[in-house]
Amino acid sequence: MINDAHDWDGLPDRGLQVLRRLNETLSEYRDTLNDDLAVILAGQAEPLGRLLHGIPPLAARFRAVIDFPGFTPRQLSAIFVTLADDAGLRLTTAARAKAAAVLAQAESDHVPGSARLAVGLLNQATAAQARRLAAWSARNQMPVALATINEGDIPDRLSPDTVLPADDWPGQYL
Amino acid sequence: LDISEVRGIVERVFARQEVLDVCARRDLGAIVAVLGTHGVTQGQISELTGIGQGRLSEWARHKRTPTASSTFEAFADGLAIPPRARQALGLAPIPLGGAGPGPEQSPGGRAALPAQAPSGTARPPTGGLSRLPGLEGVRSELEVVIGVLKAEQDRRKAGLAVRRPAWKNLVFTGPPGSGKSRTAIAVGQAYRKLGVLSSGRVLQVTAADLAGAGPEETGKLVGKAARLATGDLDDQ
Repeated sequence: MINDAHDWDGLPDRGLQVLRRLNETLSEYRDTLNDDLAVILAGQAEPLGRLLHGIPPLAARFRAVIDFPGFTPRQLSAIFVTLADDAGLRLTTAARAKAAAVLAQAESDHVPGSARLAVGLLNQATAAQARRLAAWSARNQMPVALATINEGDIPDRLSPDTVLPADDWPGQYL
Repeated sequence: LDISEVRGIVERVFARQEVLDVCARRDLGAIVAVLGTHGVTQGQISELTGIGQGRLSEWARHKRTPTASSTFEAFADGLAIPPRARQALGLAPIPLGGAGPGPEQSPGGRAALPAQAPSGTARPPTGGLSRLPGLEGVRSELEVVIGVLKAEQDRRKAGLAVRRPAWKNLVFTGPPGSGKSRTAIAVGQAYRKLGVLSSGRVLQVTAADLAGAGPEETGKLVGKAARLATGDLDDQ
């Protein structure tokens, strides 16, 4: 997966060199190396489209262009619940409601539609839960408590530190 | 062991009550150990499930315990674990995420553990993307792509010549945090399950990593990235 592929559009040769080499590599793998390679170009739609249209043989090697529109606040809330579930955590009803409100606010303040907001919020919530549990005696820590995120664990606002302002570090966050 | 032997072992092992009991405890490490006693290596399990061999080893030695639902799904899907055992593990009896019916209904959909029957009308596997809301449109488009590749694989399995295979490369457009990388991982898993790639591993690079100072350097960078992605070159 080649992230920020649109950046090639800003090179002096408009990415011609690297795109030609990519084209050759795809052909080489298909013809002589068992076709054991698949490439995903990821980035901004407009410059990426321009780049590929500049080299039609390369464009023909990409089967589909799939658009990722970003997530609505409601979808971000659902993602937050899914991520918590994957971490073995359950959210109280009040915690879900507060998380939804915080994500809606963060979505308008920071990066619209980014699932990294949900990841960042879960990181903050699990840290708060860990601090809360550490303050209890071990005897009081019932399994259900260990797996519960309550309203108090959800911060009032998403910390700016947990939100990357731009795509400086592309990769899998979800 | 070849793949058909692994399949037979999986079916026999997961039919035993004591193994179902282990599934109910969600003890994947014990399952890895049991399969090992039948000659299924951790390397083979890793190849089939996409879970790292080191991780499997840690589970078997009970150094770590898996908790994420996606891990259990990857383990069960990769090994084509029978429905009863899937349920014991706390999973749906058939794979979620558009993976289609389980092995009894649609074995042809899994290249990792190919079975005897044709594929039927199962939806193509999309690697558990259904767990994430907001990616329905993406999943729908991927199903078309993967469906074409699956049909092609079915023709190969039927002994028909495929002289001009479909391209597998894709373009993902969208802002940061919109699920592109997560989807790429799912595509890798789906391609591996179909058997159109030998590994589901996804190597992520940035465009700048591949742009050299001149044609020669660019050629080397692109070639190296391709060899890293296919496992022909160690990244150490």
